[in-house]
Amino acid sequence: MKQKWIMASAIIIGLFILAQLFSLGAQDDIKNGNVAVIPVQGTIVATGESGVFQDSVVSSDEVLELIDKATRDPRIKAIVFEINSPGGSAVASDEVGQAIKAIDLPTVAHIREVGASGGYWIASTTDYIVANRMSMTGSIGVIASFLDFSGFIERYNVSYERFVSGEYKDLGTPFRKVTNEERDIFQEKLDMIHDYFIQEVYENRHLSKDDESYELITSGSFFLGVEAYNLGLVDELGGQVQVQEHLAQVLGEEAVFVRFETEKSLFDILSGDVRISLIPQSPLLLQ
Amino acid sequence: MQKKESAKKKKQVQPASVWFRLLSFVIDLFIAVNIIGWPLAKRLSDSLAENFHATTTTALLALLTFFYFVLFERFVGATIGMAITKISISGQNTLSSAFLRNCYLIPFFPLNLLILIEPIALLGWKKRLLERWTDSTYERVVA
Repeated sequence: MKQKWIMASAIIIGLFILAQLFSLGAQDDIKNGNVAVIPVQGTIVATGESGVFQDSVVSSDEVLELIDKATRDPRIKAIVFEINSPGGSAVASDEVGQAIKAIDLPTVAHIREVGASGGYWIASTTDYIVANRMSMTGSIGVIASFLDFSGFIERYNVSYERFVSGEYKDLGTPFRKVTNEERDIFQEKLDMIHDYFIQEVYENRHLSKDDESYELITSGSFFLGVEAYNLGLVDELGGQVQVQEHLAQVLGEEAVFVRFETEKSLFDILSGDVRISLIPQSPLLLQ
Repeated sequence: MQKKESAKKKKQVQPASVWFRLLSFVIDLFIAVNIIGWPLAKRLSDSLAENFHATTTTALLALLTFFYFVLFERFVGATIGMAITKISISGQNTLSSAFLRNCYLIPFFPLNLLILIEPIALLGWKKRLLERWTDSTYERVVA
């Protein structure tokens, strides 16, 4: 019995010393760098909704938290937003955009594959945009849609009993046809968001609305990186090297990247590659 | 002397129930992570608070937990949690069998998959897969 106690004590002391040694060896966890890289990848939503049956999403909550952490870190002298997003919620894009504008440090957007619509809105709020020449960007427009099931339920002899207090309370219900008046209301809202979007981009990019490219830029069309460069929507064509060179020039020292990311849970990792989109999301999307 | 021996003979053991084993595991995990592994656990919480990747620290903490289980099971016969819940190991208890029995705690692929498989096996067979392979049983003194 006494021998067991001695052995147990020896193991505890030994393991504690090992933990101390491990702790010193784990110093590499704290990465050193002066430029924070914050990924904006996937459909932009307001709150995290990622799951097995959904596309990859990025929530504005998540990005705002990472921005907050990066700006509070005294070692960080600039922030790069690595954008690979087709857009998403107008509100979420605006939230991220406003947060980026409030940053006192130099900011750069690096558009890799896609930085369209809401993704471009976010990019436009940074000081400098670098995009791959074949990337997809622009798409300054607003989309809203829903499926009309009225014909379907009629066919199966199901009727929609409408009880509303307020004429437009069930605007957008998929169980009846949209009236022309309701269509106008929807269009009006979309146009308003579109105007905000255009205003933001033109202000952020210091573009003139009198320019002949106005119609083209605001048409909702997407542009390849090279086209966007010619239209003044991006500042430089290239990738990480160009971002690093630009920041070295701005900071007057070498730019060393450190990624700021949200830790993934085991479930996220396991479900990461099998996400498929089944359900249409928010009706007002910058996509 | 004779009395002692007869008392020993009267000890009745049976395979430890899932609930006792879970309780013992939780106690051990608390001791291994929060007491013995305190320097690493502190580093882990610091790293996460600053939003840095803590993959190395997490892996080291898991390895430390693995060593805790292996060394205690082999050289003491039971971990602290097992001693509290009156669980002991019967059957093969060599260093290699202790190693194999606890290798689900090693945080590297494909061994880390065992952390999902083992509880399922325990619920189904009342014995973990690695216990079957090492021909050992977790028993509990009931009387």
